[in-house]
Amino acid sequence: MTWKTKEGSKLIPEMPEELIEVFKEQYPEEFEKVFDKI
Amino acid sequence: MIQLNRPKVGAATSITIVRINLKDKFTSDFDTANGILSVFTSQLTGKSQYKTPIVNFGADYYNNRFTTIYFYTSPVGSNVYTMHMGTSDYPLGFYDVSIYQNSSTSNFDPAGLNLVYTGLGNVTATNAAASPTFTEYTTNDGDTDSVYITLN
Repeated sequence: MTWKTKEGSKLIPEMPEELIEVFKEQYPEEFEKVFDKI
Repeated sequence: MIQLNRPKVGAATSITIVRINLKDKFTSDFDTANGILSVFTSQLTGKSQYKTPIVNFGADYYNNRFTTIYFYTSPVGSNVYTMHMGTSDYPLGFYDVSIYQNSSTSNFDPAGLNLVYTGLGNVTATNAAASPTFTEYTTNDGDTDSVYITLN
């Protein structure tokens, strides 16, 4: 896992890594609000 | 209306981000760690997909009023998060959508759950994932062959 959710975000259930990558590609601005790189 | 996009085969899973104000719909004892249960029922086939989509219950969205839901759609397969769309059972088109506050992240039965949202969904296809292309007949087509049928 190279990403963690930012403080202020509460993802239920935890997003699998393969979906995180899809999320990052399709919604980069939203992604930055939700995730931090470890 | 919740607009979902079905990617073409071979493309990555598609995400649709939906924010709904559900703050006053959840019961006061709702444990957000249980997540939500979404039910998409095709208006064409009547068949339903039960999923536990990934939800952001974070406080950063408009003073904690909105619940953010990440709906994943795929043309080739599904899991507990991802809906398989564009099939004979789950075709493109209109869906009745229900969202429940779930009793656990592994529950897929809406019986007894608190219904927090009902609405309409529409599943469309990306370019190159839609129906086959074709050329319509024209009304001024000069090539008008006649076929004569002889009855015996």
